[in-house]
Amino acid sequence: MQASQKTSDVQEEEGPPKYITLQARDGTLDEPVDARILLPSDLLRSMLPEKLSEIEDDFQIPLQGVDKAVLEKVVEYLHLYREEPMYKIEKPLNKVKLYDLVQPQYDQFINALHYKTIFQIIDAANFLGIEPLLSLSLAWVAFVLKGPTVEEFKKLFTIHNDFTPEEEAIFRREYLLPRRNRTTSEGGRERGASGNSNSS
Amino acid sequence: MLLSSSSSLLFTDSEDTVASSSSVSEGEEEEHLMSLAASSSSLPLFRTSSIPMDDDASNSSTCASVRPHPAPRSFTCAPPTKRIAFSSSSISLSSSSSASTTTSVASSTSLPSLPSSLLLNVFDFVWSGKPSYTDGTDGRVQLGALSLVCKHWRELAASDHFWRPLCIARWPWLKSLKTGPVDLLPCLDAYQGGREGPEGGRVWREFCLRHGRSMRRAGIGRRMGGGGGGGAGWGEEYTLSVEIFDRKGGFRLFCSYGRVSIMHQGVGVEGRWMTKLAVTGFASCWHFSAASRDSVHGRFETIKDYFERAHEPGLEHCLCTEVTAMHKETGRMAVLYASSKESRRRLAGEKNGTSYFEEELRPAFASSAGVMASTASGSSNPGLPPSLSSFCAPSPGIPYLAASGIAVSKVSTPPSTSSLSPLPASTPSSDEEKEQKYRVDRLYLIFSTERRWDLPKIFEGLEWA
Repeated sequence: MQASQKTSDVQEEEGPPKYITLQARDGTLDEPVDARILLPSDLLRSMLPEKLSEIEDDFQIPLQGVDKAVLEKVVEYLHLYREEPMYKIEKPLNKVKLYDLVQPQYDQFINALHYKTIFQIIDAANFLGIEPLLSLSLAWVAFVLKGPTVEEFKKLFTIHNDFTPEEEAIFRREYLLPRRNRTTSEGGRERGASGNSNSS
Repeated sequence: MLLSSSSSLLFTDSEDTVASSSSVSEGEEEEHLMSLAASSSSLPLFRTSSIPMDDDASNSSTCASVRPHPAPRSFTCAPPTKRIAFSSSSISLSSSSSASTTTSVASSTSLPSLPSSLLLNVFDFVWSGKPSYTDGTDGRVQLGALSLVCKHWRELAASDHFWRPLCIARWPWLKSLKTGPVDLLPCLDAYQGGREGPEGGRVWREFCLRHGRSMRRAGIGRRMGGGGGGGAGWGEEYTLSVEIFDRKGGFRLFCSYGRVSIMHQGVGVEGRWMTKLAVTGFASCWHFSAASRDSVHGRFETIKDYFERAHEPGLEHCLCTEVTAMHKETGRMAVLYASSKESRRRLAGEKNGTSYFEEELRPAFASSAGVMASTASGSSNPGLPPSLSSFCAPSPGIPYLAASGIAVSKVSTPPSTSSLSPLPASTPSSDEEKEQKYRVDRLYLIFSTERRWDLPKIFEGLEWA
């Protein structure tokens, strides 16, 4: 984030805020937004003139790639970011909850969203080049990924199983993951059972 | 909400549906998750599928009805970039609409259809980045789980970006290799009976998978049965490798590799059943002296002292013994015995139970009378030299008692003439004794158990990896 701001030519200046209208694919945002909050976005920053004071009154940015509902959420995030920049999320995640990594308002923000919206936001953040938002939403996905097993995860996100059973067996063996029908506790019981039979 | 509920899904039976497996979670979360699962299954996902579909794969899937329009996409494993592949400088106002057609914003509501670079970012978050043997965050297992999701993910998870750090964390000497352990793979191929080469030149992954032997309990021990009876022919299909090393500095006092041979089986001391295993085959040992074992402080007076006190806290030496059995045909390995807690953990992954024997090897000359008695009966067996031995003390609560004996012999000068000279009764002066070279001459494993040991069953029951 800091690095990208250094390279940017857009200068933030004192003065009355300039308002910009963002046009999503399916309509224009209801309220024009302050131009200064858009600076974290690489794409939008490149679209702005070098001096924010030069922005004309009816300056419009068409963003054909983004839906209006998503864009509203992005703008909401940018407002939050303007107030207090988000902590940088380090890799790998070494906490159990997102709450421990970012400020509470960001945790609230991302958890209030439906997961479909979050995927849209990931795309939008990628498109607009908003790195903190991208890492926030990706970290959210990563936290979801950490929980369930593979099978549950596939069901959760309805991921198509494109392995043949043979392939899957091979791959499972390759990484030495437990087989489908066995849990770790079951394995422990079997081991105990074989131990008993040995001693008898 | 989803986060907390999904974390409770860990280790539930994967065959269940999401809804039923979430019964372990609490009511409110469960409800939420169920609604989530229901809503997700009704979604028209995979609009931009990155996967060429197989016909026979689709029948088992839950979302066969929403088979996507096959949209070919390149699966190249782009190195993950901090910033996503998007150059802001080239985008002008007019081109933003054309960019929207390529990025397919607003329609990719499913995880797999995210661009590869984004997925790699997600993986980076999930992946712990180290082969951890103690907790559940083993990077290899995580990558393995990720790679089972779909083909595209498998491609991504095989990236060297992940595997190189894993390999280097495990084997730091690989760091100096520029191209990866390419040269090492042919040796491994020969060793493991010629499995197919690494896919797409993913050398690091291949090396890590082949060489990191016990990643997680594989549960394939059943398959290895059929030895039967423990007769004379038994043991042909297995080889045993034995290593003793000093934990500090990892100095290997002894290593041996070869066929299993049962040297002695019978009723030993106090009615316990004694099994003595040995390895017949190549063995190599290193000469060492008491002084060399703690060269900085010189805290070990004699080699006897070293064996007696090395395990004490503060000295940080410990004799570790690792016994690994390998099945000749499949190349599968299993830990038969790992003496120290650390090495057990390292070998076993997060669980402590891979090896059969749980006790710490406490190097001691005279740990207890019972063990010393078994030493005596051991040394009465021909072929075993009178020895400085180290044993682990028996602990009464555990049905299987493990003991390993190390025969240490003094290296006389010149070392080649007589290798098995017993220790002199008179103790020489301290400095001489310190510098006196010894070597571990032979290691034999003595398992003293309450009942008769059925070795084939024991071997079958090991956790083969």
